[in-house]
Amino acid sequence: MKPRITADFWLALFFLASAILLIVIWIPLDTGTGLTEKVRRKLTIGDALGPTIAGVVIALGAVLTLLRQTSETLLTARNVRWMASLLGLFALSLILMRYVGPIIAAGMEDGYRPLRATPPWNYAGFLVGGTLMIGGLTGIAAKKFSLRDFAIGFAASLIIALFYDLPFDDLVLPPNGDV
Amino acid sequence: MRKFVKATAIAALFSVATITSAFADGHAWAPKGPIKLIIAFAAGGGADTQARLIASDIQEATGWEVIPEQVTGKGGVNALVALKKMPADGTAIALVVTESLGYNAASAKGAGISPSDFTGLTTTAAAQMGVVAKADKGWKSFDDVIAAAKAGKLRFGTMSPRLSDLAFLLGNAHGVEFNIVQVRGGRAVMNGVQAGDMDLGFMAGIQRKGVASGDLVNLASAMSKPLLQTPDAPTFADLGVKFNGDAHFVFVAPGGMDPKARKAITEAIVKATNSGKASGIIGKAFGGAVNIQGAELDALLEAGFNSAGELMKAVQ
Repeated sequence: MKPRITADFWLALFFLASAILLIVIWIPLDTGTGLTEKVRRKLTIGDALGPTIAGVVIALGAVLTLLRQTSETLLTARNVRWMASLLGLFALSLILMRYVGPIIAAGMEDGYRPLRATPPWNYAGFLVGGTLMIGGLTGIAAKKFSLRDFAIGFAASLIIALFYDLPFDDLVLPPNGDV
Repeated sequence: MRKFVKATAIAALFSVATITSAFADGHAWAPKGPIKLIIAFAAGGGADTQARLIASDIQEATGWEVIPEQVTGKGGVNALVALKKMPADGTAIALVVTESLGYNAASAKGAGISPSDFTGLTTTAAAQMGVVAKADKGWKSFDDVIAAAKAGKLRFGTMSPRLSDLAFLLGNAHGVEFNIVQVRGGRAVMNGVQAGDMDLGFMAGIQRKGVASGDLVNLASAMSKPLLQTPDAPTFADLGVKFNGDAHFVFVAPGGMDPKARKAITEAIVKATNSGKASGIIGKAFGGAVNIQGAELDALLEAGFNSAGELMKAVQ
């Protein structure tokens, strides 16, 4: 029987590939021990056991979805565009959040790091990235981008930033803690 | 009159120059921007409180902005891995224990850290590491613990792999096997002991109030020296274990730090531990400030790292 190339098929394939990547490459590279290890003369659970079981469960779910597809809906170019635009928007917004500050301060002698807790510098990345994320999401959902949505995005980002930054002296506005 | 104005102006200029130069001498180094203080201990515990009070004292004394951030896990190794990637210009420091740079760094597979990756600033205090149980267990001496362990397996709380090894060797020396439960931080051990989830466990100073009130009892000192609060409790050497849990809280910075920055930050920390708000908790919980610095500290950290292998071998 020829397999049906539905949206479920592609979803299952994506998660199967992810699970294999997780089990074969990511976990061995990112854990210090194997599935089990000998500690104080006893065999105990290793760092890799938990994530490997999680990877196997994901793979099992993917195989079951592949074998028993519940939807006849096909994956269209429109679906792919929708997902790509969402993922692209999130990626671009997060990149801007992280790098707008350092880019603005690139010409300064000591760069952005000394300014990462000083207004208005510390707000730059969060506001630019947040504005794009909120305005962009609204635009993608409404299939129309408008200046008003981005203005709302800016206002919302500013309120979130102030809510986070003003009351707490010991907190650094994200993502400046990673700088 | 003109003469007077001229003389006054010269005198004023001279005063400003003198004051400025004195100020500059007193503050030969200042950080470029805020200092990130990585705290390797769970929020709310004695070590975390110590770190935050030191940060506050430094801010008040120098005007430098210090931003504390918790990076817990793996006995301080996670904090050290994060610190290693930071600039060595005095804008990133961490509070860990000497054990983090010793046994924990040596045993953390794949972490890739050793004392040479860091600049030691100063220790702040010695951990008052004891083996503690609830008083209502009725154990008056360590022999009572062994008798109870022979009657049924006891749950022994620890907060690092090194202390787990020590608990194992302690049981081994007396022919008993403890059920070793490793949790995050001394507070988690104390909560476990208080709640009855653990029968006994290591605590590094947090037990002081409980012992003083009679709720908890120090059964042994896990250090090479007796505990300050209960000097009669036997040490690990007395109990037949040649290793001990000696540990100091220590501030470190990334390796290759500018000596001026090292000196200035070390001085600020030492001042805070001896006379600031932090000195209060350090005195109460850890018996007072202990400031090991410079070459002596470098040697202490190296020795801890190099001797880790012997303990690891002993538990194989």
